[in-house]
Amino acid sequence: MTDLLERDQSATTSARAPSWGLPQRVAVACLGGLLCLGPITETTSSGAALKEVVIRYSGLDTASGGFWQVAEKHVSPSAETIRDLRARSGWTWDELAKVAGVSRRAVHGWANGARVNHAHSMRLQRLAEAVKQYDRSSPDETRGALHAPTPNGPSAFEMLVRSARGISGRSLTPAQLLEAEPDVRVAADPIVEVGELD
Amino acid sequence: MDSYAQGDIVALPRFVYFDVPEHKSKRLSFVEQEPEAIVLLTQTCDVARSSHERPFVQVAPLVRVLDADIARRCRGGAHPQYAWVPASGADGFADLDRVATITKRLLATCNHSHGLRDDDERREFARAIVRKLERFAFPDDLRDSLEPLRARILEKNGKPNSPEGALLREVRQIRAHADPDWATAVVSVQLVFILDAGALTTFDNPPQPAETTKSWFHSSKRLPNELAGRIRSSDDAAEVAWLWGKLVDAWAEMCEPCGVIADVVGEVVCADEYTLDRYWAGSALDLDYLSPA
Repeated sequence: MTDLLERDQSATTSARAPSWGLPQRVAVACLGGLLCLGPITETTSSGAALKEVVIRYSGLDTASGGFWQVAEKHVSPSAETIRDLRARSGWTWDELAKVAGVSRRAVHGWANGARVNHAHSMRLQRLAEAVKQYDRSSPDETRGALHAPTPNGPSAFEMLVRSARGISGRSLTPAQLLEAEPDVRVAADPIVEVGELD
Repeated sequence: MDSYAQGDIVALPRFVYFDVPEHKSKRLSFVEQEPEAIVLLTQTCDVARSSHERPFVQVAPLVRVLDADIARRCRGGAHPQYAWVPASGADGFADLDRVATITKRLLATCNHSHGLRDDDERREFARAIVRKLERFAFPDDLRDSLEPLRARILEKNGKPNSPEGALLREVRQIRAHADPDWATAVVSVQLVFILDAGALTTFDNPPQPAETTKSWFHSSKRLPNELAGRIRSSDDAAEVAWLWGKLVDAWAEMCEPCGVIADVVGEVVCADEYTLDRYWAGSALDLDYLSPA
């Protein structure tokens, strides 16, 4: 993280990160269903720097052939990691479950040592890195920063929750449902002519 | 056509013939293939719509399942091919593998009676049709990976007196989630075992069992039947919740990585904890569909 921040800070004067390391703006990219958060400057809004942000926070390494080459490097998070992430972020168990994309009961299970699959393991690792971006002097303040609206609208927390949603399933929207033909019950069917077939 | 409804039993119309397979497989041998009537599958509102706008309906043959035990299992949903039509008797099913399309004009020439008698039966029948067509096409590797668990569930499901069998009866549905998705070269699978709303107590913090239970659990690798027995004998809500987590993990651990399936882990939730978001992203496991051909 440090090298990225240092390079970003040296590359721009208009969006310098504060001394405690919190970026003034946040780059958001949703690739492979995983939200990526990272400090953004004029130089990181496009090109190689943005790509680096994406790779760092999503694990999506397009240059080396894809998602799982990076995933293989992950270390399975222990119960300690889960508890540390919660303590550092100030999130409640419910909030942690939302950003992880599972139930509170599942996160409780992880905290009690239940197995975590590769994808969730990697997501938790990336979440921990994203939370570090917002690290403040206390968990409450960190949580406040995570929940504060960004200049672009939703808070980092909200964007993390959105990115945790499954992308494979979608129901019909109300608009789609409204465009469906209305059900019309016909009182008398005009073509019921029993004798006609004989 | 206002008097017609989904699930109606309709006298077999002239001009409609359901062919019978020349060679019956073992699976087909327990069903009388010659239909005695047809069952209306089309949704009731669509049946009632003007025949000018919607001239066709779908029907399936009404067949008899000859073996009483198999009929019982079919009524319980063991074979998605057969949708129970309660008013036709305990052995009467719509064969959803042999759906045909006929005109409403032809339908109107035939006597009919209602096959479903109340809203519960209507809902169950509609659900059976949805289930037959909706089942997600999981990768073959998942079928192979889940085979030990499938066999286990089928073995224990019929034994409500065994602790594991009793707990399996509390599982309302198993849903599978893939990360990143089923089409990728490496898939992480989350099996979500859904219990009735409120079946487990909700805790603010991770529930902890008594130290004796923790020691027992960590003293050796615990098998599902041992964990189930412990759950059945415990009256401590925190311990039960903790043990359920270990039980579904033990069930999921029976699934071997296979092909694109990198790993399978378990999760237990109550129905009121499983969000619509997750419902949209996951797919129900259908054990019959997962069985080897």
